[in-house]
Amino acid sequence: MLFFSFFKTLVDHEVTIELKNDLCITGTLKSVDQFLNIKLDEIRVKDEARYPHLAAVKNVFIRGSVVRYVHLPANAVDTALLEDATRREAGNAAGGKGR
Amino acid sequence: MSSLGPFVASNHYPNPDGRTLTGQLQGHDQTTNLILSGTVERIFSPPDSDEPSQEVEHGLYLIRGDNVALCGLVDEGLEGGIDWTAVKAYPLGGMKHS
Repeated sequence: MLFFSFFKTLVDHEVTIELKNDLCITGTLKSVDQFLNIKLDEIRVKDEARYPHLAAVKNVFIRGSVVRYVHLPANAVDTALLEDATRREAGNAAGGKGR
Repeated sequence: MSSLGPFVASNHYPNPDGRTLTGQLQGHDQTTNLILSGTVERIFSPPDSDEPSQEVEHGLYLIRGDNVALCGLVDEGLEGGIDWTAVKAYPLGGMKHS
């Protein structure tokens, strides 16, 4: 749930999603769900000439399972906060599972 | 919560096997299974070939969620300005076993 919450803080930021088939799509993050499915608005495909398949499309829903990377603006992320949250999650997981 | 609800219009799907299908989204569920009516598959010719790109009609499709990569809402304005038979592209890569 940590990354679900993390992505919710990035709504309305511009991100680039790199898919497992090497397609890179830049757009405004509009929503995310528990499966880390992503909705982007006003998309631009990187290297449009090579990938004209999405020429008529402005808004996309991307299935979480096909995402390789989510490229984020560095200034949108509070890494200290993320580190703390991760430590807490790890602590909970260890406490919960390692009885 | 992300939802495909607003996409109940025209849709356009690159699949993990690289295929692009366009049709009307009639239904969907949590695992991204999709029901697409009036499905048209666009087969693009590679840029170094003279053949025009083709469209193949498939009718009503039920697509299992595992095979959906991306679902794009077709913008009617942009779609009208594109002659798909003239568009050439290399096939999209497959994503199985990535």
